[in-house]
Amino acid sequence: MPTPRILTEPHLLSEESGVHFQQMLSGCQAVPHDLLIVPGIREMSAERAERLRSRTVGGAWVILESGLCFAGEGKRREQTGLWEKAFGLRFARSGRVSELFVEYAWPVRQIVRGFDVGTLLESAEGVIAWSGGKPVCCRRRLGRGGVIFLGSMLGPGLGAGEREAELVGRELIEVIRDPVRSLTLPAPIRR
Amino acid sequence: MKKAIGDNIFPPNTTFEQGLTLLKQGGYDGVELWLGERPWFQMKTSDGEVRELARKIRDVGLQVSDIANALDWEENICARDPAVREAAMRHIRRQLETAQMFSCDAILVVAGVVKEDLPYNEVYNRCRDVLQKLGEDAARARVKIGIENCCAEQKFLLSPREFSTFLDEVNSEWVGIHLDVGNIHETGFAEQWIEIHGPRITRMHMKDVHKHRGRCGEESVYTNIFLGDNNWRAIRQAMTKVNYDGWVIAEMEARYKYAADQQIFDTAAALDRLMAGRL
Repeated sequence: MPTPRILTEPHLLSEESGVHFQQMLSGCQAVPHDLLIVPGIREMSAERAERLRSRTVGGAWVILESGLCFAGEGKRREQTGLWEKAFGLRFARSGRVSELFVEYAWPVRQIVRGFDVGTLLESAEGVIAWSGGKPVCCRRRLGRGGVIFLGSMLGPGLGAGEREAELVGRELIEVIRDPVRSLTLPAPIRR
Repeated sequence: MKKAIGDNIFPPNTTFEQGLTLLKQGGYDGVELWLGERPWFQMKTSDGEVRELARKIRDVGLQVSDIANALDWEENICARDPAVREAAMRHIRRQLETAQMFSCDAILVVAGVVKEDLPYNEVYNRCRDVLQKLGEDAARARVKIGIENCCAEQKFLLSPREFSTFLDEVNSEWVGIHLDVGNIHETGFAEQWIEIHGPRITRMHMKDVHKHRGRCGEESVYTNIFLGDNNWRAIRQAMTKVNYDGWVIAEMEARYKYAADQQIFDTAAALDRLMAGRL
């Protein structure tokens, strides 16, 4: 089985999350070969962002997990600006919620523990999860592939054995394997 | 979800029938029956009398949410005295029997009370061994035993992970947790217990708690739902998170000095808000 690439940064948040994603993947029956996971990211360079964007245009899917939860405002602006440019994401100016949970509508309806949500999205387009009614995760097509952005880290929940986080994680992998499902927009969430 | 409250909240001098009528007027779906608490449901209550209680409950349009007991504090399965332990097993088996008579599939048990002269490890091992046996009875009866988390009073199974390990060791799908969200104030956060135990939750007890009030003296730490320090929004979200769709059972201390029945109606309204998630 080909191993998806997990592209960590050299800091605890990213490395720990990467380990937990790896453990989850080892429990999956099949994993798409053109999947890239960039966990707990807060130091992405413009070059790396451009490389990832090119890969998505060519057909890869990138799970981009923000690690900006403990970063300062300057870092948050720099990284979100980069991600906006590379992946067409749109971020809110202020980026914190105090809710404990994140509510996913896609790829499966599930509530998971939030992780100090520090990156909020601006628009509702492609949004797949909310926290306190504010969009925190989204999915966006880019060329033949796309990016799944997680504004609240999922890796720590995977590491904690959180059933609902594992369900979301496994479904994300499943949905990327399935081109029809990966194109399906999330159903509107009832509030 | 369905809502219930215990028959131990029936105002003083109320008959069983009058209490049931109050619950029906309050919009409850069911009643939690406490074996050994009120005169109508004791160990000496015969099968025929139990069936008569069941008829009265049906006639008023209610169900039995679960069978609790008021006996575990005196007759616990962790007792050193074999006679006391046998008595505990007898009343738990009676709960299982009567649950079947009431067409109900869950009972509540307080397993283990650690004391100065009854140490933790001894209580742990004895409770596990007894519950493995009772789990077989529960499987035959097809009635789940919910072990209640009375952490502060029991001084036992103080963390959700330890509770989970304990249930792993009991190793019966018929033994789970009857989760009381008001009993976690000294040891953690109710919503985290819900998340950790998820599918093992047999029933849920609802009450509120003053986290910062001392336990000594006459003042209770418990209070009506929404008046204390529980994070009810988080509790409700955690219930949705783990797909809990079973009974929510108010376990209230009778606190109203006047119009005692009003507590039944006020509690029903609070449970409705909680179930609807309007918090």
